[in-house]
Amino acid sequence: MPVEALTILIGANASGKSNAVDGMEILSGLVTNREIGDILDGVRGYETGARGKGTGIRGGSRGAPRYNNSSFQLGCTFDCDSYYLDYEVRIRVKPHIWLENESLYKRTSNTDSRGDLVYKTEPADENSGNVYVTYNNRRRGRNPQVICLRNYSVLSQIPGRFPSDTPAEKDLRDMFEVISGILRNILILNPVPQLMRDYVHSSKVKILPTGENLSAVVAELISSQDVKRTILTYLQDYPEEQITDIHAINTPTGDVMLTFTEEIGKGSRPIDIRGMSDGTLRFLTILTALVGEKAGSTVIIEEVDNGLHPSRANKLVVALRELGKKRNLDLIVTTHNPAILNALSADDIPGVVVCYRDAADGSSRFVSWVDLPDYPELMARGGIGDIISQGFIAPEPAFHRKKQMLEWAKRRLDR
Amino acid sequence: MKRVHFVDTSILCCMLRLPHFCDAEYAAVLEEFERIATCSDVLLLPLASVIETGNHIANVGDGNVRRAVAITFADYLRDTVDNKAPWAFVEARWTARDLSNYADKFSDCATRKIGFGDLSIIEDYRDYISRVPGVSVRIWSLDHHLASHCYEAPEIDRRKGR
Repeated sequence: MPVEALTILIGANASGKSNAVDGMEILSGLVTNREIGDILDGVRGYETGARGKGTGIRGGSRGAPRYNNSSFQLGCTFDCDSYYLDYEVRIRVKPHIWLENESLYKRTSNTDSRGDLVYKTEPADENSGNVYVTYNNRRRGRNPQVICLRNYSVLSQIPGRFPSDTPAEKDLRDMFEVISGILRNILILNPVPQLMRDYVHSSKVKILPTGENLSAVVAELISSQDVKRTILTYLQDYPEEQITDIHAINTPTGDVMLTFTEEIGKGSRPIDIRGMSDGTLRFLTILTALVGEKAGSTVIIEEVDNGLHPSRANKLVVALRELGKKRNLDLIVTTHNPAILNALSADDIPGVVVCYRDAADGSSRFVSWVDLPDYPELMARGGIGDIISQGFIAPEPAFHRKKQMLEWAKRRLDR
Repeated sequence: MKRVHFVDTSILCCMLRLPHFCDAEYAAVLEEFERIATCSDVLLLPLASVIETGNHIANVGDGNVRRAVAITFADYLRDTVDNKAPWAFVEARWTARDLSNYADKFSDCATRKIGFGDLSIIEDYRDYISRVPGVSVRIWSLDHHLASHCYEAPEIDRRKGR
């Protein structure tokens, strides 16, 4: 799946968009020191609503492999400025949830060639809970090995199990830090407005996937007048609901709730978060993530326009584009909304990725919109929203522009 | 680089062999058509070319020729609908904003003897360039003023290629 600064994932229902998000969720989980089984199936007692940490992925571990397979593979490439790291992992889900194999390779150029080994697992004994991992010490002779547990990713065991004495080992530790920085800072946002309409302890300032601690996060952020102004600028722009100010109400016991000043006609009135509309709360949660997440983070938002009136589509796209750039965030969003897709500018279009099911084998595939074989023709129909509304779902499998042109000439033109 | 060519009225009229229209250029137009096809470039058909070509056909003197060409032109249009034509139709929806844009530009164009059809093809060309990254665009025409419209698009800057 290609990724740009703003990636807009589109595609029919059941085309695989959410599976892609699940994949990213698993990858971000593998770098934490949680058991693989907990990443996939969640931890009982720690569920915090849809996609909250602790709920696992859709369908759990048994739903992760395809059809009747017992394992699944995931991978990604990390762009580390001066080099690239290719990470791959295969996880078996039955009879046990554990590591089948895992590897990391380093490349200095962005070509398809395989890079230099960083580490890889050796084939493990069928019933052993341990796996040997060979890592590159950049010396002559055989590479050294360490023993890792199979119910955690090797990645997560680097700090605890790999030595860090030689320069090669120190480099490996540095690579882990880079990967860990990227994967830990993935936020998969799925705002649930009804969870936001209550007091929250003011210490919960890192936004949760559901946005249930929105009050605490915003209360912290608006202590900076600059940030408050930014949030209000993007939030305010709606004629039907002019929010001119945000305040935090603090209780003596350390809880916090947001109140807003709303202007209607000539008057203004206070309104607390319990009275705010779902659409506005969702939008505020997205804005909060955009202004509050650490620079360099990745924010993933499924159905980004959920609950949004089409007239606000343009505002949302502008917020994503401008704040994403200003804050150096990578944004990955999914949408079905033609209004959102029509609001994209020429600069946004290279980030549009079509997810579709292969007509032959049914597997999900990704293609950049600008790489579609008939991209120039499609764009003659108007915006991407128009094209989707007309029924575009997947790339034309048998598209032969040249053949069609020459056959037409033969049929319709005099020689 | 992907490349599109807006098909102007003059090209359509030439392909249809409208009497006294562009007999001399017919061979050159066919040759250019084949070159475009060989490069797998894209032809786009703007609405103005359809309307203007239709007007030219209706003005043909000989009634039999007029009817025969009109039937062929109707076939072109059906081919376009059935996705069998060599071009794709540029879907046109004039909004109040478009009208206002034309109102601003037309008096100046008329002074320079540029008709509304040409103006609208140029506007379609400009709109396409502004919306579609990574595609080079030109107007394919026998008219020198229209044919001077040619745009080389820069490569799209993407992470994949970096």
